[in-house]
Amino acid sequence: MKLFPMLFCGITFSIAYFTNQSTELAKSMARGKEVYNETCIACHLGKGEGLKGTFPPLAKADYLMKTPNKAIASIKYGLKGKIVVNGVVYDGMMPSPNLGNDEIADVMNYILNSWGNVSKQPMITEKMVERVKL
Amino acid sequence: MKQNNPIYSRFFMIIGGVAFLISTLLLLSSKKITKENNSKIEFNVETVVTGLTMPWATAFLPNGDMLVTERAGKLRLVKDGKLDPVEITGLPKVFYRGQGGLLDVVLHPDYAKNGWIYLSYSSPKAEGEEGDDAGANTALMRAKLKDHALTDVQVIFKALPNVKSTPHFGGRIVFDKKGYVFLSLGERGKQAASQELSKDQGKVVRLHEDGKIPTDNPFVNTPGAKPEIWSYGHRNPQGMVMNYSTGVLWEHEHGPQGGDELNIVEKGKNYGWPLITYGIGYDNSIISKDTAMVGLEQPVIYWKPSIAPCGMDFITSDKYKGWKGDLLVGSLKFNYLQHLVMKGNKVLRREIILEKIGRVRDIRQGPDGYIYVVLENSGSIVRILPKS
Repeated sequence: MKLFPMLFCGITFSIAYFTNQSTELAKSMARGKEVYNETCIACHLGKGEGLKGTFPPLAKADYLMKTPNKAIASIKYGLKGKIVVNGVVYDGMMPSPNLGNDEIADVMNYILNSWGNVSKQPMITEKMVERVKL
Repeated sequence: MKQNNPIYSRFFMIIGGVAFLISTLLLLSSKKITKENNSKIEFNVETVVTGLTMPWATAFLPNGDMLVTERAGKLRLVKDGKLDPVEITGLPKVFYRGQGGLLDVVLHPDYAKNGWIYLSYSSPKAEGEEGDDAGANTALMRAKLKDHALTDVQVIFKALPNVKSTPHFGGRIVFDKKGYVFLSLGERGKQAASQELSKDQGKVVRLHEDGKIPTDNPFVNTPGAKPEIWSYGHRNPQGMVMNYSTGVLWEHEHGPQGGDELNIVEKGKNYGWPLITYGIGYDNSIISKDTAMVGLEQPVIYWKPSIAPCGMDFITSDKYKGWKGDLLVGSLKFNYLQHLVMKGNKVLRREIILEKIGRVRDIRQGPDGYIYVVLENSGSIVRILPKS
C-alpha cells in the first residue's frame, strides 16, 4: 500500500514544478516590464502598438511571435534594414540597447505574453538568449 | 414703437457667429504651432564618410580632420573623407548601456591655441560616489590629442547621483564666448529629480572651462542646491546650441509622448518637467493635467506628435539662400530634419526637409559653411548642398 504516498508525492511534485514554472515566468515578466518601460516604450509604446510604418508593433506581431529568435537577435545586436511585420514594411534602425542576456530573456517573456500575445514557446531563459547569434 | 424683428435678430446672430469663428481662428493661430509642412526645396546629399558604428557627434579640427564619437565608446578620426581605422586611445571608462555611452564632442573656442577637446559620456559609478551600485551618470572631460592618443585627460564634471536605470543622459556641450561651458543633463528616468536642486538630473549646468563652479551661478547660495545648476525642470535635452549673435542659449528636449520641446535656457529658470507638459506618458498615462503654471517656463514651440529631436544648429553662413539665422533640428523618429524659420527668438514656421535621410544624431555647420549631418543608422556623415 505504498501507492498512495507515492502518488501523493508525485502529484505534489508536479504541481510544485509547474506552478514554480509559472511563477518563474511571472517574475521574469515583471522584471521584463521594468526593462520595457525603460528601454523600449518610447518607440513601441505602452501596449506594444508601435507606429505604423515607423516603429513595428509588438502586440500580435507575426515577426515576434513566429520568429522569436530573430526578435532576440535584434534586441541583442540591434536591427537595421527592411523587415515586414503584419504585412507592413519597416526600414529603420533599432540601436542595440546592450542589455544583459538575463534582461533580454525577461523583456522577451514580457512582450511574448502581453497585450493579447500568448506564447506557445517555453519560457525564454538566459541560456537561450546566449545561444542566439547573428 | 419698437418691435423685435426676427430678421434683424437672425442677422445679429449670424454676425455674432462669424465674429466668434474669426476670434477662435485667431486664437488658434496664435497658439504654438504644432504642425509642419513639407518643403519643396531639394538638396544634394553628399556622403563625407561611412563605416562608423552608431556615431553620436562630430567636431571639425582646424586641419580639416573630423573627430567622431561612437556611442559604444570609441572616438574616431576622419581624414580626407576616410575613416581612420586606428581608434583614439585614452578615454576613461564609458558606460555603454541603454541610451548611455560616449556622447558629445566639442572643441574649445580657442582650440587652435590650447588644444582642448571636450567630451561628454555616461560614466559608471566610481568607488565612493553617491548613488546606485552599478549605476552611472553623465560626465564631462577634456583632453588633448597627440596622434591617436588623448593626453592630459581631466574629468572636470560628473553628474550625481549615479542611477542604475539607463535612459536619458542628455549630454550636449556648448561654449559661450565668455569662458563658460554648458552641459545638458537628462533626468535618467527619474522624473521628480528634475525638480530637485540637490540632484544633477534634468538640469543644464554651467562651469568654467576647467570645471570650477562660477560664483555667479543662480543657486550657489541656496542651501542643499548643487551650485553648478544653471536651469532645471528638463527631461532629456539632446540638442543645445548658442546663437552667438544674440548670446541666447537654445535647447531642445525629448518630452513624453507629444511633449518634445524647444526652449530658451536662462539663468535659474524652471522648465517645468514633470509638473507641466504638453505630452502624456508612453503608456498613455496622464503625467500632469497642466500645460502651464506660474513660475514655470513655456517652450518656444513643442512637437505633437513627438519627433524625437536630436542635434541642432543655427545656419550662420550664406550657403543656403534666405536661411541665415534659421535653426535646423534633427529627428530620430521620422528620419528627417526640420527647418525652423526664425525671427528673433520666435519660430515663424517650420518645414520638413531631407525626408528619409536617416536617424539624425547630430547637425553641425562645418567650417566651409555647409551643414553636416551625423546619421546613426547608416553610420555615416553627410554634407548638405543646395541644388542651384
